Amino acid sequence: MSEIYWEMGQVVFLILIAPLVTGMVRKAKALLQGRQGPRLLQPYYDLYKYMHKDSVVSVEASWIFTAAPFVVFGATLTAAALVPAFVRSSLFSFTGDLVLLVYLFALARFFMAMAGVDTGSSFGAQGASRDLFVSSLAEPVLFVTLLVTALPAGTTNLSGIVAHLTGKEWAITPAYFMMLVAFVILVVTETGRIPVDNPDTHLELTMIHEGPVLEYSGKPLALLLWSAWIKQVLLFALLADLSFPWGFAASAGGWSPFGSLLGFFLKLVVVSLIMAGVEMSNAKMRLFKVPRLLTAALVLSLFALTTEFLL
Amino acid sequence: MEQSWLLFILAGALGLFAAGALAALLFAGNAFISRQFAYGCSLLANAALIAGGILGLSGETLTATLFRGIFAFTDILLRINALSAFFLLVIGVVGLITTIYAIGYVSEYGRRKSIPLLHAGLPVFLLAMAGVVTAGNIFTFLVFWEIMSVVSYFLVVYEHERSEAQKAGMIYVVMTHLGTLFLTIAFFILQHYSGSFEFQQMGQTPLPKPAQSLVFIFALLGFGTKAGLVPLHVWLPRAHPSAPSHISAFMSGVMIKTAVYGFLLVTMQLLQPGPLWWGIATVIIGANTALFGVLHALGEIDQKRMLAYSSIENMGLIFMGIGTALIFLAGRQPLPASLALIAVLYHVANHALFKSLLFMGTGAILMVSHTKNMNLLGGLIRRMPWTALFMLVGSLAIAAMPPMNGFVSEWLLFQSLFTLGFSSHSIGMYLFGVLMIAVLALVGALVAFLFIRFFSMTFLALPRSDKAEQAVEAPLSMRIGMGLLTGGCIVLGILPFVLSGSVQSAAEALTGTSSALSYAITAGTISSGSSKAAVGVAGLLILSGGFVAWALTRAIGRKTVITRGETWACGGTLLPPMTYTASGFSKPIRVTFHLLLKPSRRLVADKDPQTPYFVRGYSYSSRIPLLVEDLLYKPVMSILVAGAQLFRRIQNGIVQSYLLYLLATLVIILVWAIGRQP
Repeated sequence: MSEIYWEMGQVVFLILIAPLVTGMVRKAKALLQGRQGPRLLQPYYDLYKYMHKDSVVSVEASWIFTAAPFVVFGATLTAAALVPAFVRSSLFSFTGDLVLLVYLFALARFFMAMAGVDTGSSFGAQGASRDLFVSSLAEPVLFVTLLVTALPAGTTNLSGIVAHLTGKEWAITPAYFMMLVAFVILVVTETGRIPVDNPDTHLELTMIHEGPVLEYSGKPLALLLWSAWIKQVLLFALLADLSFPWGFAASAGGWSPFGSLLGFFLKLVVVSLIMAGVEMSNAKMRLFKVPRLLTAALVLSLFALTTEFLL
Repeated sequence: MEQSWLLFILAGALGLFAAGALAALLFAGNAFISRQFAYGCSLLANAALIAGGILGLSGETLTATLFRGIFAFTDILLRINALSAFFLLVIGVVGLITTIYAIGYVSEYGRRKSIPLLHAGLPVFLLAMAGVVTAGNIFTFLVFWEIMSVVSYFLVVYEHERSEAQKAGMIYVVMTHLGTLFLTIAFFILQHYSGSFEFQQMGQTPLPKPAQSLVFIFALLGFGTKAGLVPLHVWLPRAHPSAPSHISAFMSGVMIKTAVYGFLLVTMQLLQPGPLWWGIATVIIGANTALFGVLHALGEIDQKRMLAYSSIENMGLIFMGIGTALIFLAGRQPLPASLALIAVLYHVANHALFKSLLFMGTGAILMVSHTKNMNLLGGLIRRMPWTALFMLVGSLAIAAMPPMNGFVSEWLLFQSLFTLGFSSHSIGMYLFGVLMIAVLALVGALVAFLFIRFFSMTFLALPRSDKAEQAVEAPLSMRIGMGLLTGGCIVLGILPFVLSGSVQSAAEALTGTSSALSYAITAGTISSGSSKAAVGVAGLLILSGGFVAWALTRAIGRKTVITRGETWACGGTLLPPMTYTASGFSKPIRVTFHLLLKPSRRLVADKDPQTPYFVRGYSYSSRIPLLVEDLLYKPVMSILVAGAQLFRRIQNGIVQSYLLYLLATLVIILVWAIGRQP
């Protein structure tokens, strides 16, 4: 029974730590750029501030615009309950798998894109169009990359995959490295970071994810930002699951939950540093070059799958 | 007892359809009475089809002769098993709802003289489709198949004053007969080896291997034409949009599903399991069709053509599933084959629901705004709130968003392809499974793009033309029709067990195993726990997540004051021409896939004659060429025409020369006959 409490705790932890992870990436980027940067807890202050503000809604907007933040947050929250982070199983692993996870992100994107168009703003529609373009190409690559671990495990259930990874005699295979590089590319794409998108800009030429959010203010904006951060921490958690699949708490012979919580936090710090490093060492690429990057990830995953099968 | 009831109900339904059509024509002078008869009979008959479908799902295979023909093989023979009962159910449900919708929609055509023909067309069309899926011998099947094709041809050219409709009808009628030709060949090969015209006997005798594959190829070509598989699809994006919208809903929602029924019937009930390449070929053709369909749909700005391309895409997915099942059957693995068939049949039902819903919605928009061009629409959510809501659900469903019904079948398809990957022992099959999952994911993501574009560009932002501005909400009967289908999309998504039983018995009729779902659970591909409730739980979770979000906004901070302000337009006033159009929205896809789509565009600046520096306006047009037609059909057509020109020379209209031909023929035959004598 205590298992389920830890699984619930895992969801709450993921949601609460999401702003901190964003803060860590920002801080690391700033330090690497020789700036002092915003405080580590700045994202929490931002959320607090937005939550206490009134909201301005465009006269052109319909109920889609009002409903979108709730749907986005709801879908992201459901996704959070599917990803094992430090406990080997997740709260809703009985009902969902990685297909559901990917489609929950797609549902959030669906409403975000509609909200972007709804106000009639060209920035919103432009961002929506680009976001859909990039993610339509990223989705097949994401599936193939996840298959590198799912196929040997024989299940699409994330808890099952993690159980398979932790259960196996640890050997770093060539497939592991190729899959990892591919997955880092995907996480960069999905979280809207350089070189695909720039999270710190509101310049219309470069904006992807920021476009549809542009017309939001107050509490809905807080919900949307928080959802984006939760999605980011979920992808980081997945990356951590696949790249360091040890240190999970489990009922049968795992770490103690507190220890693995600490371990998970350290993994998040490492992933955040990697992301900051990737962002620092690249320049933003042209939108129509993104497909090449994703193709590279696809080919890497296919190689990984082949070696996984042969070795 | 139950069995005789079933056949009675079915015969009654067919009779009612016929009676409705006859009465509609008989009372052609009075449009009102004609309409009452046609739609009244259709409603009753569809209800009977639903009842028959439900009864038939649980039962054994039944056959009954409806009419005795002059020859033994021209009997009209009906045959019901769980598979045909499932398709009857789909036809009945969509038929019933579309009939309700049609009552309001045909008022659009109110002042036309030929309106009783439109009334009569609907029941005949339904009669033919119900006949196809319950046919028990070759003759019955082909007769109903032809009625279906011919009636739908007349409905496609119903607005015959438009040259576009005439051309669409011409291409349709040629292609569909080409398909029937292939089917006839396939059936007669079957008849030749089994010695029987009845399906029930055909299934018993195994064919020699080459003949079997020949039947498969002809069935794939014949049914593939009806299903719109690339490159046999050329008629579909022309014909479906040309028909009146409720007929489009039928054609896309139900008629092309009869091809799925026929293909399943031939490959799985009439033929013994074949070689592996059948399945691989079907999957590849399906994947190609799906990708082709969605990319072309993203290039369309005409709503109904876009939906027609999306139907091609969905048929591609369905054939991917059928191919997967064939691969498993070739390896004598009935359990995973059954899983793939469950995905296929679930998708058949889902697509019937949401595609007819979407066609009804575009019909409603066409009726009130008189345009199908998405670039001219926009902002309809305020003018047509109900239609907008229904179309939102339809778009979510077809984009396979949880918790709508599309997600259930997409997920099942993923699982069957996943099983293909992980259960295979050859590297080729393993990578094949992975690549097909990648194609499925790509198609899924592009479909989401497509329907976000459809919904946003039609209903959101500002109206981009007077046509969009003058729109009003659709009449009540159309809203009821759309509302019922919307409900169906939600129920089948949240409560999949409503349908999973029927789907399972239909799949059992094909593979003989009934435990595919529980197999998948024990094999570990599907999460433990109750898989039937799984997706429904996801729906509840999303709802409760949304509720948490709402509670958070309530709990933290004070009550929000919402001020209405103008959208930021860089300091100017936001005008309709400044908003995004459907063409612009999907531009990145046209750029990325330019090698496949070969788009062309024309941008002409209208310059001031005095000075070249001031431009008064631009005119822009972009076009996606129909490559398949240009590269495949045009050369064949020109060869045919050139051949015909050659023969025209001997047909010179002079009686004397015709007599000479007769004489020459006679002489040649006589010489040949004498030469053959020993």
